[in-house]
Amino acid sequence: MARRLARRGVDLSVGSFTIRLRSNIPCVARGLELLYADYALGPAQELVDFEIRIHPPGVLRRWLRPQVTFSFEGHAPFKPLPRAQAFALFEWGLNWVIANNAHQYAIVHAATVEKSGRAVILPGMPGSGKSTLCAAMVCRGWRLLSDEMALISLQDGMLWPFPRPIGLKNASIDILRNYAETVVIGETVADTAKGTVAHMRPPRTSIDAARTPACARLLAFPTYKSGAPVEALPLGKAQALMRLVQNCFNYSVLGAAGFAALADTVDRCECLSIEYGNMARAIEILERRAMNGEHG
Amino acid sequence: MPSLALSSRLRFLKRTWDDGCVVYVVDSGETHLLSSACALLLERLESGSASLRVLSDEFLSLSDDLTQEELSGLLEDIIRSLRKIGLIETGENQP
Amino acid sequence: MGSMAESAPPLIRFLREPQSSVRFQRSDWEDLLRSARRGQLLARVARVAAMAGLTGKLPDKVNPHFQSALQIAQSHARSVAWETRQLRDALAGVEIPFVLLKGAAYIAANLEAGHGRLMSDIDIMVQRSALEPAEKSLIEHGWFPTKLDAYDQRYYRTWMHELPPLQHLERGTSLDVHHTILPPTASLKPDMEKLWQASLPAAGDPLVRVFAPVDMILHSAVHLFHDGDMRHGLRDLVDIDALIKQFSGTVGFWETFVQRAIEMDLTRPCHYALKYCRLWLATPIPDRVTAAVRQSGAPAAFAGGIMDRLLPASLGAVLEPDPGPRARLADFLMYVRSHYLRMPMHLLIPHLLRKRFARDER
Repeated sequence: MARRLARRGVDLSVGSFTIRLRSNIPCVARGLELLYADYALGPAQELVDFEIRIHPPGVLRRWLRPQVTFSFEGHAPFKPLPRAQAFALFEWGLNWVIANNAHQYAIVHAATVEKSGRAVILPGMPGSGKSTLCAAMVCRGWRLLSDEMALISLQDGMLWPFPRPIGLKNASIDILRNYAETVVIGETVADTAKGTVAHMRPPRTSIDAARTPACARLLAFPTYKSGAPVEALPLGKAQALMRLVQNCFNYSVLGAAGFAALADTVDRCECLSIEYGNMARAIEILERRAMNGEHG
Repeated sequence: MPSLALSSRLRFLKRTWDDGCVVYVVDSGETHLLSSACALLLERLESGSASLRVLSDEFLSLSDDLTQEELSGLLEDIIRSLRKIGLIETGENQP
Repeated sequence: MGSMAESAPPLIRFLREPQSSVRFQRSDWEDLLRSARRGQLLARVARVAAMAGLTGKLPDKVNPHFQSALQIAQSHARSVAWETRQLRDALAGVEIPFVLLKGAAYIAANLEAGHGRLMSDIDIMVQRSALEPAEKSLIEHGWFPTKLDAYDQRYYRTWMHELPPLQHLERGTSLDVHHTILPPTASLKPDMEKLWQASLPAAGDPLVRVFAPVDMILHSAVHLFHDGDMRHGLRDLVDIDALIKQFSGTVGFWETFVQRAIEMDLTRPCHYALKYCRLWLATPIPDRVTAAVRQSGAPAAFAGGIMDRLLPASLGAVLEPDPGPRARLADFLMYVRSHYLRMPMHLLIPHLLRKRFARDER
């Protein structure tokens, strides 16, 4: 794997995209082997959409300290990071590539999961704990669409899956490690811009269903508050739309088409804000609201 | 007598719900959250411009618990906020 | 490069003959997507495909890339229209007309070259005498000089042909205000008054103007060979190609063009622009035109030889997945050359040294 990754690259099939990754950094190869074990990694059977490289930067910097650079189409949009963060850099970089190059979707910063054909959008304000909530829901049998971005098709408003390892931070890493026996978590990396980070392997069933879109039914803005009781408050649709707009990466690119797609999403969903200190209880409430027949 | 009309310079899309109205201004790319009262005025002006007095009378007939003073204060606020984002403009009334 | 049609990279083959893409393999499409994205040309390619009636014939996985790129181009066009309106409002009060340049002009005048054209900033030109009041009024309307050190400020104001780049406080959009198409220190001296006199209202508004068709092409040619950033070289050629295809059907167009190039002292950049448009993009240009421009524009054999070796490597840099040392060197030499054309040598060397160090620090 490491050799193939360094030479011709590994072709990852994730949802509707095929990504070719090349890297000669050992921890990237290890991360792929562990966390992308259930993905199709063979030579692409169809067109490669994006090519990404994770590699040591120029001579001078390499000499200064061991670092890695992310590059896409011959262009490096970020500052180099310490080598230990190479796998995380790949994950963050891939998010950036999609957010900047997949404008066939309205792309909202949110975790998205689905059960019985009903999808939940959990937009991610800082401190919302959306990824933790998403990881826990996935452990409880929800299908992972994405832990980071809701891809809302401009054509029909459906949510398209983009399931990848779920990014966890700080205390969430151990919470999830102890959450279920099936949980597999990759290498933990300390001192990143986001604190200590690690990624959790997505379930095989989510990967197998990665080409089946889902219809959004619940739009819930989560806020984690340690020790607080769980409280779900209804949110007006106009308010919800404004908050969705704020969380949309490519809103300014999409113009009127983006406005329509987000407004339709709000129309289709029950909207609420949910403050929670207890994850199990929050998941119960979200599940009940999502399965509520009243909205469709 | 000045009359109010929708801006001839800006095109906008709007979606109205119970808790207010969200307007997307196509030309500038800006999105605004407006009160339901603003939405009411925008909808009224979509069917044609009108003088302030006509609007005031119409709004008064829609509400049974507002006094004339309260209403003109409300109307003033609405007009100010819509004008600020460029959605309406003041012209001279056509007889 | 007569055999170019077959051996050329897919992006070039597509631009020369869009229909050739019906025979593309998967790897050709992958190659085209990468090069086009790198050269800021993907939206343009998508537009050309649509105009060539290829929409239904594209592979399923290519469609979303084209759709996505067109969304970006539309957002740029929207932004140009809005910024133009704001600029007009800011400058109309002091009665300063301005010319939209390059991409903004193609978009505002609804030219084919403007469809699928990506923008990084907006370039406008005002008359030299209006530069100071224009800057003052722009600042009053929220466009502020971007943070530059004193050296850069002086560099722009003294030697270059523009105010330091401006940025709008609220919208964050960038604006470059020029008063000529070449810096005063350059050896070529086109007469700006003639360009102004021939300019046309962009959309019936006398204050918002664009260059006359021939001048638009001349300016694009000047930009191509005097601007240091060759990453946009291929895009500039594509602009010129589209302008030529749109305008050259008019009776007497080419005669006016050649005459204007000579009159404006711009036959040399024109020589290169026409030569490489023809060679790379198979732009329809009559032999008599290239001959006439070459006659007065071609440089001495030695300098021409160097240019003909540097330019293809530099222009073609976006076509290679990993630009090799040759392309990078050619790129750097083009950068040096563009400055050499703009500044006297005693100013140039310290400037380049400074820029080199500033780059490494980043």
